[in-house]
Amino acid sequence: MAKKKLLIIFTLMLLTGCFPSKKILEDVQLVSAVGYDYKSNNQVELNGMVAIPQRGEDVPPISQVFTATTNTSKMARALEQAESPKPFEIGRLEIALYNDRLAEKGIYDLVDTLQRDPSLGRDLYLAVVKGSTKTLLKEQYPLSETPSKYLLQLLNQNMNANIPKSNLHDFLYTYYGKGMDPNLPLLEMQGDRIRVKGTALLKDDKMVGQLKLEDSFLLKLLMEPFEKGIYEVKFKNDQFFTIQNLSSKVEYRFKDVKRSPSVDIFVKIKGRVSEAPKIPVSDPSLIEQLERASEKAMDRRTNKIVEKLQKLNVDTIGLGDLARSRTRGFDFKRWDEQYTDIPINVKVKVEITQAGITE
Amino acid sequence: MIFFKKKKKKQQETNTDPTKGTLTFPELMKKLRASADFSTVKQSSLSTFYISYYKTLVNPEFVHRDLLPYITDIQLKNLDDIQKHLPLDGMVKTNDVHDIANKVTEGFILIQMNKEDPEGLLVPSLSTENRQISIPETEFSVVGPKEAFVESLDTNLNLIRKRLPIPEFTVKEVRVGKLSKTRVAIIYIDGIADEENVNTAIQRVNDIEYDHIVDSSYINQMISDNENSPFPQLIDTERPDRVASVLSEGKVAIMADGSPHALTGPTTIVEFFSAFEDYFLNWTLASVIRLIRLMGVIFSVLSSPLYVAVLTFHYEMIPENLLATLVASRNDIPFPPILEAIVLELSIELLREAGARLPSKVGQTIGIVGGIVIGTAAVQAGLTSNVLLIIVALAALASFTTPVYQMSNTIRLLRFPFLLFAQFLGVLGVGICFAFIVSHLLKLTSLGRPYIAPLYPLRANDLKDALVRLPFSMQNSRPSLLRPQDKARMNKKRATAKHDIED
Repeated sequence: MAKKKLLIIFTLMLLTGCFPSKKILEDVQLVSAVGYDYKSNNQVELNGMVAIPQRGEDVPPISQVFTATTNTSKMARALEQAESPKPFEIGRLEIALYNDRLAEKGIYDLVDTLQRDPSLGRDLYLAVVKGSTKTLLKEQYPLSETPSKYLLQLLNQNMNANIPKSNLHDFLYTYYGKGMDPNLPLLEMQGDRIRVKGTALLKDDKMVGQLKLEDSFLLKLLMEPFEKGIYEVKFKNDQFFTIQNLSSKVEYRFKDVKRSPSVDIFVKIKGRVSEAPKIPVSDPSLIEQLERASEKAMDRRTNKIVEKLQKLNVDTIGLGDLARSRTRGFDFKRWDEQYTDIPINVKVKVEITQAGITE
Repeated sequence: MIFFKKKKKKQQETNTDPTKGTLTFPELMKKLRASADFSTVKQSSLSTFYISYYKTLVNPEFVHRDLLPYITDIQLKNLDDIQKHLPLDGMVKTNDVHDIANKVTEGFILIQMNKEDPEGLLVPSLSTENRQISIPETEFSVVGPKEAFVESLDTNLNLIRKRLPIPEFTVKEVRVGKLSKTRVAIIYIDGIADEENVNTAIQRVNDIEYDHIVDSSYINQMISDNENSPFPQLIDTERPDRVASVLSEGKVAIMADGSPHALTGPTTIVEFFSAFEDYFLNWTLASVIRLIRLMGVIFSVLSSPLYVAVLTFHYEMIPENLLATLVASRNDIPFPPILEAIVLELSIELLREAGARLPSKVGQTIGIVGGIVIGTAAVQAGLTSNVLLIIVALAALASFTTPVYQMSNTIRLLRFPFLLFAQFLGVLGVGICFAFIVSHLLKLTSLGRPYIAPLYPLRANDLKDALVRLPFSMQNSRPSLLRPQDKARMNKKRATAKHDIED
């Protein structure tokens, strides 16, 4: 008995070195945003933004950017480390930005390091930036305490309303998945603001095209059901009105997938006229006219977007995957060859349920 | 181990009762007279007899008013004559020296015809000083009865018996303690309580081997199934209404003379989180309050360990909006989170201990001074972060919501192992510590019955009065854990029917 106890105590003493290393919150430098800039063919400039909380209750944190240029991003972090008083920890990373030139070259290698890091969450936002990410991260924005917080809230808010949802998980899913291609939000710095420009369309990991913000909304309509967003429609000559999306649904119908496929996409929008200057919206007969007008405008525009996607040979909507899911013995090779020429027809149905509380 | 046991047995045999053994009557009288408060009075009006008693145990008024007038003016030949003339019951005529020794020390009056005569008449005349029945203090309730037990066993039994006026209400009395000879009563309702439970309780009390029993909490520790467990295994209550209620469920209660508390068992862990006031409130309110209390306990045990774990290992887990606040509050503090937490927890324990030991009026002041002055000063001096101060204070507050005092002490203690595990292994450590505690609870029994029933083993029917309290109309069966002889409490159909006046 006594021997056994001694043995247990002895083994426990041997195990004293086996505790995990501590990362006490205030002793580490938490990187909250990273930006990658194109330097030369092999070199990437890595900018890590850290928010340093200040003493006192109402003092906002100061943001600092550490920059280093290397071939691999992990090495860059080691270089940045040389300037920092505390060790970097990447576990609180909220957003990773890629410079547009870099995105055109391909970003997979840079995303891969994020993907492998166990301390990173999969809900990390990725975005493409027009211009330098360094200047974007270095700027002080009056709208928010730190650039990373600004970016986080900006993307959060816009992915609810204007642009397709996308984060690290979605990127990897669409990147690895067959019959679909990733999309990322496209950002641009304008003065002391950051603006969502639209959506970057990627083929594999390379940016091949982009959509404007208005078109991003329509792309979102084609991709997922959602409950927000505003679209402006031209009614008559100089009469415009805006439709606020209250709920949208999308339905796909595939015909003859194996031989000569064709796709019908039906979008149903329940909306509300939120603004209609010079149009007497309280007239019920007019509502129908507004519905038709917006259907026509959206039809034209969405078909154009689909055409553009086909021309770029990117399947952002994920039609290939959708077709596979409803076809036995689906052949990806054939689909990929045919994709650019498949007749894809979008039909939008708008139902205006109300025109505001004055009705 | 066998060796130790043998030794223990030997010790028991040598420690014999001091009043037992060979003792002659003159020796006994000599022993008794050695005390200053023992008096022997010679009465010789018509006939001569001697009265001996402890002045401190017997009310002199009783001797002069209720005893002497009946026997002084009569010719008495022997003790039988005295017995005949006294209008009292419970008198014993004996020449057993031990009997005399025991009874006299308990407050009997010894009457002898001759001073050296070993035969005497023992007249019961115990007068004890009793406290008035007062309001329950540790188990206070806003509504409901406001009687609490006092230090006299007979008064306490009276308080219970008047709530259960049935012949099945049974009191078994045992004397425990070599020196104190404390009267211990085992109370149950015959025909409801499981015989096995009753016998276990009686046997455990009988087996107690100690020289003095001052309070029922001694018994609680001595008869509990696992003496080393920090969890109390019998409920300690000062409310006679609570005892009456659990007796009718089929439980057994143990009371000791001189203790204002009753022990009830077999208990389950959920019972420690149910206040008796839960039964005085509507069942919806009672259930919600019970759940809040349970969450309070969980918060109280886990909040500061989780703080340490998250700040030391898992900065990823902190919500985005809290991050800046936490870092800012932690920035100036020279200690790692674990030291900060232990220092703060210990100082709260200090405050609590000081408040409990000091007289109640000073105690309050200490609480305010300690809480507010030391708390804010520590934060301003940069010794602790204000976030942790809030957490620790809330945890202390939450631990007070436990209705049973002993359980709240357990909860006080429980967070320290959690803190250490959190420091070593983070949230994983908290999980491991939790597993240790759960496995300990799984093994624990109360009077031989599982401690965490009805949760495990799951007794779905008993859940009606566990984490929530369902309405009385659904409490139609007694807890199956107690194996009551009579399972049904009432007829459910009749209980749910609501009769209007025309019915």
